[in-house]
This record gives sequence, structure tokens and C-alpha cells, in this order.
Amino acid sequence: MDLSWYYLKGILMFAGINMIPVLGLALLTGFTGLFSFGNAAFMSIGGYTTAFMMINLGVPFIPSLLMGGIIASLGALVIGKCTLKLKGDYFCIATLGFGEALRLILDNFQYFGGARGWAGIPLKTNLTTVIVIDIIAVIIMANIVRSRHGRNMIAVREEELASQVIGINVFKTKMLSFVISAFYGGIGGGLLASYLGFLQPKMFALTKSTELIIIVIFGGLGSISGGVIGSLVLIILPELLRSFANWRLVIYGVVVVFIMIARPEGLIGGKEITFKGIYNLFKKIAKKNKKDLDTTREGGR
Amino acid sequence: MTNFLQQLINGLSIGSVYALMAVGYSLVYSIMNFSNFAHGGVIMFGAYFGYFFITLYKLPFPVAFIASGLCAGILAVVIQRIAYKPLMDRKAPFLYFIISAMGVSIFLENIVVATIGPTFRTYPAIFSEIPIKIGALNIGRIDLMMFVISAICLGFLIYLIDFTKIGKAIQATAYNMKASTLMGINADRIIIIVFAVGGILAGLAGVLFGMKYTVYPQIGNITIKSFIAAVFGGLGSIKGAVIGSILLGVIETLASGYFSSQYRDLIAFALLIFILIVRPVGLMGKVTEDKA
Amino acid sequence: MALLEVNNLTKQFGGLTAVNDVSFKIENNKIMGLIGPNGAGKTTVFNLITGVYKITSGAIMFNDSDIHNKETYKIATAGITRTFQNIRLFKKQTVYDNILTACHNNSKYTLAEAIMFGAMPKALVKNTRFAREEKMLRDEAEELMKIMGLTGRKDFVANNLPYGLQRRLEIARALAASPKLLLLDEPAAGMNPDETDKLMELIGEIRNKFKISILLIEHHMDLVMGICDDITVLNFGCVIADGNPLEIQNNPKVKLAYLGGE
Repeated sequence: MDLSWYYLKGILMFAGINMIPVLGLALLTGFTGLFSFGNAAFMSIGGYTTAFMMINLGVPFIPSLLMGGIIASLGALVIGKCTLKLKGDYFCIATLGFGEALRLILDNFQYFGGARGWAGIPLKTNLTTVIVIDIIAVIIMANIVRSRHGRNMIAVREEELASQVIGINVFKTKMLSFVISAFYGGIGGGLLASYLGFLQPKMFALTKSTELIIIVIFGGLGSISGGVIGSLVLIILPELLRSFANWRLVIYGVVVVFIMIARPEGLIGGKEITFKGIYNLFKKIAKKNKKDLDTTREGGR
Repeated sequence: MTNFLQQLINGLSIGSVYALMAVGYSLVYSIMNFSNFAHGGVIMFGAYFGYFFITLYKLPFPVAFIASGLCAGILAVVIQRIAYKPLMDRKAPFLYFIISAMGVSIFLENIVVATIGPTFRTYPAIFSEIPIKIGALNIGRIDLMMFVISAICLGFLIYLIDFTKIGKAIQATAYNMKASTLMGINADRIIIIVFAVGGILAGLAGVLFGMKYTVYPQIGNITIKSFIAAVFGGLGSIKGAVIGSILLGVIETLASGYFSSQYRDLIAFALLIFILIVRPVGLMGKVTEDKA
Repeated sequence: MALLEVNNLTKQFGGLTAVNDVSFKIENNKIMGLIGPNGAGKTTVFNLITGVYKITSGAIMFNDSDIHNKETYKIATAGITRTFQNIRLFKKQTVYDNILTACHNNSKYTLAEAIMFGAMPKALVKNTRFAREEKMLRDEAEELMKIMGLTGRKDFVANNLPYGLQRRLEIARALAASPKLLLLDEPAAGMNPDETDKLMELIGEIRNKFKISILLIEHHMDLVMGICDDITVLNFGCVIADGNPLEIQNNPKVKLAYLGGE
């Protein structure tokens, strides 16, 4: 097991890059209750857009990246218009369909390299960029969730009909969530493109969309911390256990079924890890220790 | 005109296999009200069962065929017991079922990759390669067999559902599970039967599919076609699933024949999107209003 | 000019006529009761008023404009909110969050503002629209909790509340959306006489404090007769009587419908 810094750095970057689409999906699925099996499509839109802007238009990295996010968001406006009015199962199948359809289109689009992929993308992603963008992404997501728009999304997840009755425009709320998740997906895709240096449509097939959903569920629906920690655990751990590469997905599958049956709230259980929370935890531990100390002094009474 | 008829026949043949898959999926949906994403894994296992029964155990085709179906049926029931029953007992929201099904699907696909490897395997030729000639039309023997076998299986199924006591019990449970248990129907037993039947059909479809094309761990993805066909025909309706599948097979084949085969899958998705926008309940589905 | 006017409202589900040529009016600041045996079409009327169902024929006017067949959230924004027969709280959210979410209508800040100012220390952004409106919403929520007697349970998860308090929370949430007309669907269901009395007081207080009108579906007759200014009686989807409580109590058709003759 080669634990050189270079290798570790690569794994951390990979986790950090994938964390962003996961956060976006956490908003859509965890907070708004929409299970999309096609969010990898937004990653591919972002990735290919970023690559196009950098290679064909000579635009610098960060603006290209942002454009990737924006074009992905536009894609979400279109896809959302078609799919967001559908109920549960239908929405899953529809997003799945769109995701696969996009992959097929890209497979046949020779200008972007078709199925063989597009190589020669400038390598601009480094660890600092990823960490900075991750931090910004988490802060923005936290602000969204704590705003009235975020509260509306949670309401839609909990009780769609009751939300309407208190004046929430359910469609607009879902669309907002969908578009934001697409933006995050697009940014993730762009970062990925510039990290790997090449793109292939099959990197963003149903498998990828499913992996994203699995990470969100593993971390716990309705929790940003869950999305962060879930990404770190489910991406770093399997990489460290490289020799078990083939079994990685087998274990994913078992983990998913296990979570659904034994602990659907996921790892973090839908709560958030905040500074205040950690401080309170320490206070509780300190109080307990003090109590123990007192009782031993009094002879255990 | 000949070309059209030729394509039509090919379309019917592939459509009939889609029907085998879609019906199993639709049956489960009608009872449990969720999309069994693990269906593809059962189809794939069916293909592998058939392959190994024929090549390794040298069983004659009819025996291997039926045995694969039965094994796939057993697999489907095992999946239901492990991955869905605990959720049903807990009255979990339906989306948990879909996630669990996804997990099973990933597990099934990758356990094959990890154990026996992802290499393509081809069935030995069971039927002669010489096509049957009717006038100017060439009908591949395997296409004919696919159609005939599927038709027979579907015939059995329709007999089961419409004319037997068990079939009536299934219909009742699909309509209203609680009420049918009050009428003395053992819902758990019905669920097992439905999963078994769906699994058997999936397994048989897998064998037919494996025979026509090749066998590899990802062929389960063909189940997406059965979703599309079932949605097209109306989720939960058996007849809809059959009609949707035949139509899907024909449209796909005609389109790929007249445009390009590369766009075959794309046509299927375009059809899905079209249906979801225009008439989400499908051809045979009923439009209902939500009760508050 | 009545606050709500229902004119010749009819709703058919396939062959079944659930609501048949129903008409009634609700004036400002009045409490109206909608009563009738089970299956009379009362909740269907609620669903038609709030846009959950589309009407088959007739008209519903609120503040002199047509609201029938409009989208539910638009009707809510116009000023009609409701509670449900099967409580539809945001079950996993706290009491506070249930109410706070519903206050959203009164604020206008955009998501961009929330993103920009959300993370900054409060002192710096105190005067931005985001911070001011958030504070206003939170104050409104606190105020509403106090009026409804829920302050003590502020951080309780809605699902863990006793049944009576859940119903009260649902009413509070409906009020948080600043309605002019509040629809209550069997608010006293499952309550004992003592709780029903308290509820009666509460409803009266709400009408007086918030200056709104209330339309009430109920089976607890002491509540209905005790608090309603007017009552409309439905049976088999048709209006069989309307008037004040005294008139209704003595109406032979009503007695026939409920008691099958005396």
C-alpha cells in the first residue's frame, strides 16, 4: 500500500471533488425529498462545458468552471420542467432516463470525442482549489438550508399538500432545489475534468448517479455534515483498500440495503455537526466527569 | 415494404422478450407500488444460469431453460425476503424500497464481476443459424423462438391471473392489500408468489436475451427498457405492459432500421420522456385525482 | 360584499356527485359551521375552496375575485389556509420550525441575499433586509406560539406532541400564513369535553385577535352551536338548511338527517 503524500493527495482531491455534487444532491434528495437518479448528467454537462471553454475558447479555469455550473443549471431548468411535476417513482425513472439519454447523446457526439472521450484537458485542479471550493460550497449550502427557501424545501419534503396550503409554491421550490443541485453537480464535473485531464461519457452513467445517491443516504438524509462525512468515508476508504477494488461496489450494494433496513437515518442521522454542538458535547462530558469525581470523593454515594 | 415487414418482425420478437421482463416488473409494481430496480439483476442471473446449465452441466435446452427460470424465481423471492420484507413490516416510505432495490442491483451486478469476472460469454448455438424464408422475408429461427416462447409464457400468465383462484387473489391484493387480507387472503403468500412469477419470467427473458446477444454482468441494464415499456403501457397494468413492450420493440427496431442503430436506445428514452410529458399514466392507466 | 361566496358549487367524481349546487356566504369576522353526516361532502367543499380539487361547475369568490380552480398556493397567498382531517404537520420538524416555515409569506428577501449574509457575524449584517426580515419572522413565530400556548414545547418534534397539541399546532401553522379566512377540518376530533371547551375559547380568541373569519367542519355539536354565528348543513352533497344555531337546532330536516327522525 503506497501511502506517499502524492497518492494521499490524489485520494483527498477525488473525495473533495465528488463532495460537491453530493452536497447538491443532498439538498435535492435529503432536504427536498426528490430522489434523482440522473444527477451525474449535470456533472457531465459541467465537465464538458468547462473543457470546451478552456480548450476551444481559451477561457481561464475559474470562469470556465463557473460556466460549467451555469450551463448545468440551465439544463436543470429544462429537465425540471419535464420531470418535477411527476410523482415519486415516475420522477426516479424520468431522471434516470434523462441521465442515460444524455450519456448516449454524448457517446455519439464526435465533436466532444464521442464514447472514446476527450483528452488533453488542462490540469488546473489542485488540492488548495478543491479545499477552498469545498468550504465555500458547504457555507453556501448551510445558508440556503437555513433561509426561508430552505425551510420551504424541507416543508415540501415533509408534506407537499400542507406546504401548498400555507402558500408555498411547491413547483418553484422543487425547481430551485433542482437547479442548485445541478449547479453543484456542474462545478464538481468541471473540477473532475481538470483533475483527470480527460472526460468520457460513461464516467457519468447510471452508476455514477447511483453512487451519489448512495453517499447521500449513507451520510444521512437531511444533513449537510452527513454529505461531507459520507463523501469522505465512502470515497477515501475504498481507495485505501485498493486491493479490494472489485469488491468496492459489492460492499456498496450491501451497505445500502443494510442502511435501509437497519439504520435509514444514515451515519449522522439527519442532524448537523456544528461548532456549537461540539462545544455542548464537551460541556456534557466535562460535567459527567466532574460528577463522577465528586461521587468517588464521597465514597461512591 | 419488405424491409418494413422485416423490421416489424424483428421488432415483435424483441418486443415479446421485453414483454416477459415488463410483465414481471409490472406485477410487482401492482402489488407493492414500487419500482423493483433489482429486476435487472434477476434477468442477468437468469442469463448466467442458462449459460452454465447448458455449457457446464450440459443440460438439454428445454431443461436448462426451465431450470434457469425457476432459479431466477427463487432468487427473486430471496431478494424480497432480505431486502424488502423488513421494510414492508416497518411500513417504510416507498422510496426506501427503491434505494434498497438499487443496492441489491449493484450487489448482484458486482458480485458477478468480482467472482466470475466481466468477460463476455456466448451461448453455444442452440438453434440453427439458417433463417426461415417466407417469401422475401428472413425470419431468424432464434427470433421466432423468442416470440413463440414468450407468447406461450405470457399465455400461461394470463391464464394464471384471469382464470385461477390464485390469480384472483393477486388481483385483489393489487387492488387493495388491506381489504384483501380482511377477506382471508394471505398477503405475504401472494407477495411471494408474485415475486416468484416475476422472477421466473425475468429469468426466462434473460436466457432468451443471452442467447440472442451475449452474456455479461451489465445486461441487467436492459431492465430500463422494461420500465419504459411498463410506464408506456401504464404502471401496474399487465396488459399495458405487454402492449407497451410490443410497441416499444417495434418502434425501436423501426426507428433504428430507418435512422441508425446507434440511436436505438435513445429512441426508447425519447419515447419515455414523451409519455411522461403527454400522458404519464400510460396507455392503459387511469387518471385519478388525489384525495386530500 | 361577503368575504367568501360559494355559488352553485358542484363537484362530480365520475358518476358520483359529491357536492351538488351548494351555495353559502361568509362575512368578515364571522365563524361559520359546516355540518352534516359523514360523507355529506364537507371536506370536498374544503378541497374545492382551497384548490385541491377542480370544480365541475359553479363559482367560488373570495374578496370579489374568482378563486375556484386556482392553484392551492395562490389561494393560500390570497388569504385562505386550512387544517386537515388527518393531521398533516411537518412531523419531523419542531413546533417552532413548523410555525416559522409558515411565516415565510411575509418576507421578500431573495436566496442570493440569504447566501451572502447568512454566514456573516450578526453584528455586521444587522441592517440588511435578510437579517431584518429573518428577525421579524422569528418574532412572529414566537408571538404565535405564545398566543396558542405552545411556547413551552417550542423544541418538541411535532410527532411527539400529544394529539390535542398537534391539532393546536396545525391551527397555529395555518395562522402563521396570515390568512383572512381559516378553514378548520374537524379540529375537535378525538378531544374530550374539557379539551373541546378550551378549543372553543381558542377559536373565539383567534377570531377576535386576528380579525379573521373561520369556516369550521365539526361533529361536536356543543362546539358548533356554542361558537358559530351561522351554520350550513349538508347532506348527500346538498344544502338542506342554513341559519343561526337556534334555527338549525329546531330545523326538522336537520334532525332527520342526523338522527333519522325524532
